[in-house]
Parts: sequence; C-alpha cells; structure tokens
Amino acid sequence: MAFTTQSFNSGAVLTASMMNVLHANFTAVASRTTGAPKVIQTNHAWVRFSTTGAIKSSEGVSSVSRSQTGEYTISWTIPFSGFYAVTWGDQTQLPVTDPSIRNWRAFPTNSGNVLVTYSAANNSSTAKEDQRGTISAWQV
Amino acid sequence: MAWHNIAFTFGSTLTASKIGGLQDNFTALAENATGSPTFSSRSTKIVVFSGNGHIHSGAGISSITHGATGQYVLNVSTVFSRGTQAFSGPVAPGTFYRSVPSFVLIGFEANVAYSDPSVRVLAGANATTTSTATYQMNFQAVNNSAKAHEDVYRGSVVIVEHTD
Repeated sequence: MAFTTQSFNSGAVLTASMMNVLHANFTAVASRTTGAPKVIQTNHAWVRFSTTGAIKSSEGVSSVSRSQTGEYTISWTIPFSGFYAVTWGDQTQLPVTDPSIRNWRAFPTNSGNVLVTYSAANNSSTAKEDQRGTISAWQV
Repeated sequence: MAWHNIAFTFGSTLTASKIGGLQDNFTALAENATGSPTFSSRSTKIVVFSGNGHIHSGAGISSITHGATGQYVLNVSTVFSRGTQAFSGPVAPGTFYRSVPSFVLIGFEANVAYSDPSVRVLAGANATTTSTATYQMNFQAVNNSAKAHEDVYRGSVVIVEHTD
C-alpha cells in the first residue's frame, strides 16, 4: 500500500476518500512502503540464519548467501540510504570451556547488502568458521 | 517537521489546518520530532562513526572523543539514568554508580581481506563510572600471536533505553 501525501485546503470539501487515504497512510508508514516517511532510529531489517546461510526467520532481508567458510552476504529487501548501523550476534554450540574468542566482522557496507565474516582465534591457531548468526540493520 | 498537538472538540469546525497537521504528523513521528509520541523500542542514541571519532550519522550522541588508538568516548546528548551497584570483597568494596543504558547493540566494519586472521571486538568499557554523560568503548584485534588496540574502520552503536 503506497503512502499518499495529501494537502487540505480551506473551503474544499473533505471527502471520505481523503479520510480513507489518511487512514491508509498508517499502514504505509508502518510497512515502510515506497514514498512513506522514513522511520529513523529503528531496526529496518534483521535475519537469523544457519551455518549454510539458510534463512530461519527474517524481516527486510531478501537473501543470505554463503560464499566461503564463515562468509555470508546479507541482502536487504529495501536498500538503505546513507549510513546505517549493522549489529550482530551468534549462536555457537560450543562448550563454555572452549578457549577461543569469536566474533563477526562486517566489511564496508553498501546500500543493498553487507558482507560479514566469522572468525575464531586462540593462543595457538586462527580460523574462519561457519556459524549460525543474527544480523540486524538500523536506519540512523 | 514539527509534531502538531491537535485536539478535536465536539461542535467545533474541522479545519483544513487541523487535517493538514494530522497528515504532517506521519513525517514528524517517523523523524522523531520533538513532542512526537515515544516510539516503543526506538533507539534513543545511535551512531555510525569513523576511526578518528568523526560522526558519519547519528542521533543522541553529541560528539565522540578519540583518545589513544582504539579508544573512544561517546558523549551523549541526554544523560543516561543512573543506578547504584554495591560491591563487596577485598578488591573493590563499596558502592559505585553505574550508568545504565537499557541495552546496547554494537557492530563494526573492518576494511581487511578475508584472509586476515584476527578476531576483532568493539566493546563497551569501564561500565562502572560516575559519569552518566558518556559511554566508553575500545576496539581490539586478537590472533594466535598478538593482540593490539586498533582504530576501527567504522563503528556502529545502537542504544535503546527504557523511557517509561
């Protein structure tokens, strides 16, 4: 449902159609349709995916593709404009005694997608690992 | 665009100005204009910044102080609420004050090759503090032979506070 910008003029008839459009604009803003005012400082897209890149659940994400070990590209359904914040989490199945430190890292973002890599390191080795991840993107 | 506080009164004329204000409020709410209703789960402080502390884009963060390599202090526009935290034991007994953002989401961009072996972490630091006007952070890289503070290529911080 598109967002409709309306102007109201003194003396003109206020029609049922205009009021219905006004009412419909709530849905247009909430669903971030094209032309709707951009709701800033909110999460615009998030995804939870498996080690293979299969999407488990998401909003605002069109695909996740795994290109090599630990490396995934998350594509947004609606491209971002300007800078946006990318944050993340992981879901390892390792015991609490595991000695390695692990984290995602994002490569410089572009409007349509972000490339992330999952790395692990301990005092004897380093590695890229496939991982179950959650990635969220916020419009600043 | 400012938020319009509009009241409709039985028997009074419904004016174009009032209906126009209603239409304008879509944008005001979306852009978090002063006076607009609090949007549940909206970030109150959010920033994307570069390695030297320059703010690329943000809200609720007035400036970022870049100290030593990899060290950043986010100066907030509106102070955090402050809670007390009691410690016991031989190391640091006593009562401390702690700034309490409800939750903080952190990410970063690293302009390094896939083959780069280090794990990097951008994290909050020095949480126990009397300051409610700052949020301290550091960025570190670790691999199997070394660890070091680094300036982040680009950092992302999203803070959501309980505003009831």
